[in-house]
Amino acid sequence: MPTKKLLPLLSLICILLILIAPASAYGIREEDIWIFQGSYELGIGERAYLEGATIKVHEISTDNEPSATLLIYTNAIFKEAFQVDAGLNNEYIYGGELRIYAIAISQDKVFLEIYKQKTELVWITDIPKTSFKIGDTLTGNDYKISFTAINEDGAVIAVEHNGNNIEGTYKTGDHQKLSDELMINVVYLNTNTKEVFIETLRPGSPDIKIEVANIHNSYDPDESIEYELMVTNNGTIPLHGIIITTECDDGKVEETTQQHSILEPGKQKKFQIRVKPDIEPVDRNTRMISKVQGYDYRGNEYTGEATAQANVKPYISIEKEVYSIEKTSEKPEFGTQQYFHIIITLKNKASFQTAVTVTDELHASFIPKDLENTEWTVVLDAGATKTIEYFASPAEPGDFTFMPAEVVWKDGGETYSLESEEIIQTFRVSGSKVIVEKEVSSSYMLVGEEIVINIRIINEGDKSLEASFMESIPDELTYVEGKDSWKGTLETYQVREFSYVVRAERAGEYYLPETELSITDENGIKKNSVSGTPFLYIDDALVVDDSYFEDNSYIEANDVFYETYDENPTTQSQITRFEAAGFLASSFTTLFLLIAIVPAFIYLYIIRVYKKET
Amino acid sequence: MEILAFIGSAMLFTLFAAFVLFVLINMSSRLALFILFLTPLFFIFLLPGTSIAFLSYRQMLLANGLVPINNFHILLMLWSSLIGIILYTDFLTWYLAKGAKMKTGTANKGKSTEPFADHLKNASSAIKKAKNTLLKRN
Repeated sequence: MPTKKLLPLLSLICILLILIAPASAYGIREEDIWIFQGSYELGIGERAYLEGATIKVHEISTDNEPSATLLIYTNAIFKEAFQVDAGLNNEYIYGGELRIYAIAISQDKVFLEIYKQKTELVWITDIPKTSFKIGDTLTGNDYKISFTAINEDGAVIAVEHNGNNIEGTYKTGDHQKLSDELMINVVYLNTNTKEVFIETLRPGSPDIKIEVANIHNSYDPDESIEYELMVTNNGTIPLHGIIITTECDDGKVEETTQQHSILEPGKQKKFQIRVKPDIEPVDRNTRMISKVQGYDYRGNEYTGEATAQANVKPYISIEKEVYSIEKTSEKPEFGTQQYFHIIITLKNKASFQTAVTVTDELHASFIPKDLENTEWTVVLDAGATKTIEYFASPAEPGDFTFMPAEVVWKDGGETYSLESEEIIQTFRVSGSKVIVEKEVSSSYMLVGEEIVINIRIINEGDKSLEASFMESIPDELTYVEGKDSWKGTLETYQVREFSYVVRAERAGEYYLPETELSITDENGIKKNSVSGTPFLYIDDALVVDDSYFEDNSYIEANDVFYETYDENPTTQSQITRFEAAGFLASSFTTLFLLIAIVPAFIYLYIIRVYKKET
Repeated sequence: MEILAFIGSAMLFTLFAAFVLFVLINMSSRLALFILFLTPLFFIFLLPGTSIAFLSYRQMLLANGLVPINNFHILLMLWSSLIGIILYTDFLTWYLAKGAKMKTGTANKGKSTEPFADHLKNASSAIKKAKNTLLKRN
């Protein structure tokens, strides 16, 4: 009965052993070797941080033969003190697992190479498990494997590697390190089918990948540039003795070197870098170069480099803020209903005093309150913040944007300037603004001709207004028809147009008088808005060449009689037959009377003389 | 065209003047005056467009274009000339008749002393007189 119970137990153990078999196969990839941990350059009191241990330089003696006393700590607990020199006693093994080599000892530095006894992954599959039959060959990079025969001891496999021919007989699970660079592993030998499964292994290598993370684009001059350096081992075997060296030309790196003992393949380590930038009057790009150095188990060096870049602002900073405020005054001015509160903040982040000139350019229609101009000279103490505040009133309504304020200062004989950030916001100023435009249909006209005078009134404000105007017509012109006066309401953004016709009476050059529009806003405040004065040249009709009229059909167009003959004379003159006859009759009568004066007087005289005589 | 228009206009005015002078000499000065006055008016009423166009036609420009001369101006000149001729003809006729009477010293009581009395005959007698004159010439 107990044998019956033992049987399933044994079979379970067998199954477990089979399952564990691949795990033990992984063991061939690792080697128990002295693994290079890094080379260190340590001054007195400095430490080399290793995996699980720390080595500290206690003292350096340069009496006869330079020597150094080193201390070993494991898990921060002091374990041992020992002495090394650069001569015969240059190697020390601690606890059979740490080997410390003193390469050189100088006045104040000890140069060490440290190895650690450790089982570590070394071998990486080169050609995965491949089936061979007798006579098959497999060629790798610099080797050739041939399965030549099979006998009682196992499979006979010949390997040609680095010009050497090595032949061996292998059974299932056998592996052989042919050189430091090649290992073969016979995974399984099937004697029945005379088939062998072989894989080849080569030593792996670490691969350093560096990334810069969490760096801002811009930093203030009084803050540190802080970022992370992410070092990843993308290789196949661990990386040892990692040392990071950071350099910066425009600032001071807080920790120029940082160490890390081991980085397993596929693992990542974050290093925090902190740089204090130099104070400069102009903004500039600060470059930080980090070099990463590491070793594989054999002491082969691997390096990588990463550059981080950040913009550091100048030590003077300027900010501008604009606030729109509603007018609440009891006596509001005509026009706008808002004014602006402008705040300019200046900061000096340097450790010295600086005199600066601030200029804030305003829109042409803005009037600063109680200020002659918007320019100030300010002395900024080290680390000081100063604020300039003022108010500005817009003279007309509309949409406005503000220009950035500018600060100018001198540093080391050079002049520097800086503008505040652009204010994207558009500010609306509501109120009344009326534009009066006056135009003539033609600036050139002839005596007797008629032209149209156009008046255009535009309410550009967002308030409705009461408005009126009355045109004054100069003596040179006479009013014919149209609208030359108006009174009414101008709605918001309304455009009203008026026109009237005048006739030219006298030749000459004139400027028409301006049109004055009287406006009254909602609050009963009055204002006048005037137009321009259009120029008018009135020419004498008689001196104009005939061809001018013929070419332009000028006579027909203007209904003016120019004493010229035409085939259709009724269109020339609107005179009727009665008017013409009346004119002729009056002409005749006048002539008759004029001519008859002399004989009439003589007749009367003669009659009188005769009467006296008789 | 301008020359043709000028010749045409000149012919019309000459014809008009000749006719008036004929009436003045052969018939009566008053009739001549009426014809002088009424002929243009008659045409104005009959053909207003053409008449006005004719009168307003510019014949020439004098003094570098400053003085335009239209047919109307020519008509006025013609009128003033003929009115002067008619008036002075009548006046001189009256004066000469008066002087002759003064010389004889006999006051013709039965006859009117009015200057235009001799010409107060009707148009038919004037035409008759003209016919006789023309027959005598022939």
